[in-house]
Amino acid sequence: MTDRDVPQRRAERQHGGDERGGFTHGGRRRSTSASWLARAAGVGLSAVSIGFVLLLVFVLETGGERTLFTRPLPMRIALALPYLVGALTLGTTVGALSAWRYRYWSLVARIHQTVLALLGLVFTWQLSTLGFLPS
Amino acid sequence: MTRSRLSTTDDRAARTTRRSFLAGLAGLGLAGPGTAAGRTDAATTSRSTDSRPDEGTFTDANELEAVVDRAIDERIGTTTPGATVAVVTGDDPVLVKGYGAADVDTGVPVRSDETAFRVGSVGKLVTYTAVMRGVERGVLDLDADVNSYLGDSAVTVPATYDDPVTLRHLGTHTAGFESALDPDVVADPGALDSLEALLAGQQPARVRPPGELVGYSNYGAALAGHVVAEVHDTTFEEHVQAEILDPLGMVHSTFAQPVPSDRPGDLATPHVRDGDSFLTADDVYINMRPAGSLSATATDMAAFMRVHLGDGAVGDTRILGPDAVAAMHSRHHVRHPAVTNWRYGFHEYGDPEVDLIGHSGATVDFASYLLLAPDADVGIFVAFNSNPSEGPKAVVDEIVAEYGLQPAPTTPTPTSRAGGRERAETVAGEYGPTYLPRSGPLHVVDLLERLTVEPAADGRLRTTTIEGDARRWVETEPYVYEEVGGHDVLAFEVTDGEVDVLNVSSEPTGVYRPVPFHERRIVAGGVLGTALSGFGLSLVCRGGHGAWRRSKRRRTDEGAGTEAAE
Repeated sequence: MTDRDVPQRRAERQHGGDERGGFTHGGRRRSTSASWLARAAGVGLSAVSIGFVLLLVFVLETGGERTLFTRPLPMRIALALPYLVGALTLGTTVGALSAWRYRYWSLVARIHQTVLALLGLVFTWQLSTLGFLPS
Repeated sequence: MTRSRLSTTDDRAARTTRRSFLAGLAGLGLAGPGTAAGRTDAATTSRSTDSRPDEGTFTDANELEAVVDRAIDERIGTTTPGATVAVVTGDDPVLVKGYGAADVDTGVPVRSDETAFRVGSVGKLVTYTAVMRGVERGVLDLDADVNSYLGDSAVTVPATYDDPVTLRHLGTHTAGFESALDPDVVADPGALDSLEALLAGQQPARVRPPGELVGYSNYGAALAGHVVAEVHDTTFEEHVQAEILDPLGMVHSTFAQPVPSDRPGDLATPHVRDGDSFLTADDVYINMRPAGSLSATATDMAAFMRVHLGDGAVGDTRILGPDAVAAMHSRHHVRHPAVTNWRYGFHEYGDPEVDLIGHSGATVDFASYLLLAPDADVGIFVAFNSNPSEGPKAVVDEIVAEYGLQPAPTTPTPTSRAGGRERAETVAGEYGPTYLPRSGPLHVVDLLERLTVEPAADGRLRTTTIEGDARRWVETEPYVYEEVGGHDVLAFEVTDGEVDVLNVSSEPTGVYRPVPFHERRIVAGGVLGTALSGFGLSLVCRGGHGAWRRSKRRRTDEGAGTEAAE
């Protein structure tokens, strides 16, 4: 790498090519940028979906199936997460469409976002089929 | 888990944990570890007050007691901490006995005449007895629109279909309400609402025309109780107490929650399993009271069974006339002639050819079963103060088998009609039950209850469940298959080469219907597995990529710094 490469990379990052999501190289938070929100929705979708399954299993294991009837707070939290999954799926999908429209990120990153959106859509569909979301 | 020792038990409840789980659901509740408040050794075995006349259908009361002792003793401490049993013949209680601990923390034993158990949906039989009482008095009609009794009530059944919902539909679970397993269970008695407000505010959708298919409904039972209360201008609890429980001397029985302090005796403590021991659990409360809030002792339930075996009277106390009892015990809805069907409030049990009727019950941490054999003049009631995978019905099954209340299963004779292989291909597929909710989180239970039907050799069938419970079936009539080695029957209703309904004899609380492809287990499992794997992989890759970039950037910056220094 030469001295000239470093400022060039900095410029790329400042024009939406930031692969780290959320910070410019200079440290200024870009929380309002569409690309950052799209990326955050994808990360949130993955984390909340897995978190929903883990929390549901944990509550059922520790509190028994009775918790589906009596709905203690942890179960209420678990049963609220599918709605968050739905919202994040929407955000991820809009983000994927915007990524192709406005050429956010690299090609690989756009494909990644699109795959996440598709997974979110089928996951949400199954949550609806299983009764966790109204159909 | 203790397994049934008999091969002649009547259905799958003793075979699979999921079956018993759902038997409990049919009654209401679910088994689970619950809220622990204490821990102790579960091997408590204490005896209670007994009542054992020597006469009756059971020729030797001591032999009966030995049979029941054997069945219960092997379960006390392993399946349940306590149990209570009543066996009656005609007008006599042959055996009324408590077993084990009413509360494992205090060590108080179960006493058959003092320790009340939450009997769950077995209490529906009291509710429907109250309905028949109203019919007999002329204030109710089984075929009238229930709305005609609800003029002063906030509850109204919407006119979703041309045909109205009647008390006959409510007593046979054919009203067509969407099934909701939860009869509004609450953990805090302060959360109990009035029955009227509850029924008005939590009315499930009407999803089928009335009278068409069975779909177990706690709401329907609660509505029947509300109708009884409305026509008598009182509350359900007060009416049943004054008209049925008190006259029968069921002094420990009540639908009231919590059990009023002035009721004699003590309520058994619910328990949950914890490894090799049992923990006491917090009790729960049933908002739809007529569907499952009854507490009763074995002695009390013996009196109730004697009413039904004794043409409506116990001694000088008459609750129903003989005609009303006969009407209640006659068929009111036929799912299919080859399988168990519905009497009024009771469902048929075991071999469809034999006159056995009963009902299961459960709250979250109690389980019970009541069986009547009117022809043999026998009644059996068993209750546990826990809700294990193998419930009280397994004990009833053993008593039924031991005393030949139904014949042992025979080898099915294959039908002589040609085309068995084609018919087996027609009925092959995945089926889901109607007795589970179609919406809400409890709908996920449906996924666990699917029945897969596959063709086997010679026009036979093979069925499997998600637990791997595999059974073989022989076609005895076109589209009717009898279980090899059991009493169960599958009866398919086929129109134009497509299955409309699968009736399973051992599941009277509903019927099974074909599952659309997009809802099948393989689709759901594949989609969920793929999506979650993808999400996990994404997070891992994103985390790894981020770490790699940070590392690379650090190296780059260090390299640049070194060059600058040079």
